[in-house]
Amino acid sequence: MDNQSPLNNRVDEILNSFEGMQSASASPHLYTRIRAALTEEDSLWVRLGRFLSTPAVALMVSLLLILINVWFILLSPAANADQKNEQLSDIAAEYHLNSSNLADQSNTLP
Amino acid sequence: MNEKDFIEQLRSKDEQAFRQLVETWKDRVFNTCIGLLQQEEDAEDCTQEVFIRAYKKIDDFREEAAIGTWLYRIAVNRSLDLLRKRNREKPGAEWIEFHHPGVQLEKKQDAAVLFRAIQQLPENQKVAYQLQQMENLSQREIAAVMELSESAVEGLLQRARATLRKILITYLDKNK
Repeated sequence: MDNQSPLNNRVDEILNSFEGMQSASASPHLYTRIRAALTEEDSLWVRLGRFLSTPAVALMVSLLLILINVWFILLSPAANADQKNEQLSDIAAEYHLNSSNLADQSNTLP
Repeated sequence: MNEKDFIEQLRSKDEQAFRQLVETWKDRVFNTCIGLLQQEEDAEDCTQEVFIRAYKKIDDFREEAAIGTWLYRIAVNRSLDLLRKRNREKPGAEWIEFHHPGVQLEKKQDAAVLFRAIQQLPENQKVAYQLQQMENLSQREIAAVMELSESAVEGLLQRARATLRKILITYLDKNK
């Protein structure tokens, strides 16, 4: 017990170290900072960003972008490629531009 | 002006009333945040967020509590959120010695040891102990802030003191 007493006294000293403590003071410019933050939050761009970042809106915008992309792909010249290839093949055949024909022709030479 | 009229002005977003609220309560809110967060910069951000929240959510304020109690509650909740976030992002981060600006010079080292011990308390005990020791709130006021009964707060404070004593004995034994 004699060994414990100084230890307990020391613990009490530490526990009492908050005695006479002054309150910490906030920055004198706190109100200005708060007003600035509130004004910034009210700005159009911040509100727009917040609106767009809500999950439902973000999902809808993503889906819309995907649909627009699909639409463009379907309407792109590649979709008409078969028809154009057919026309080109006809022209090539008419003028004997087909590469296999050329090969055939060369094979007939002596 | 009585508190009811003051609240009405706050609800109508009266700038003068809001400035008065900030100027009256900023030090107590900051002191609560700094005690729990033990970091000056985080405490400044926390204080700012408390008043921004109060400005936006004044319609949620139930008038059976005093406005100070409501502000303390927001400050405590916001501080605990930040502490949890800090623990999630940096679990087991090395403890940085904290010196509260209001502690008397000759007690600075002991107070730093006590702050370190307080960090190891469970959340509820930590809040109750700090509101009593740093804000000098009565058990009734602490109960109102924490939305607990007075007897529950009394129990929390007793357990906090007992736990702190154990932590400090272990610390002193190790650092003989």
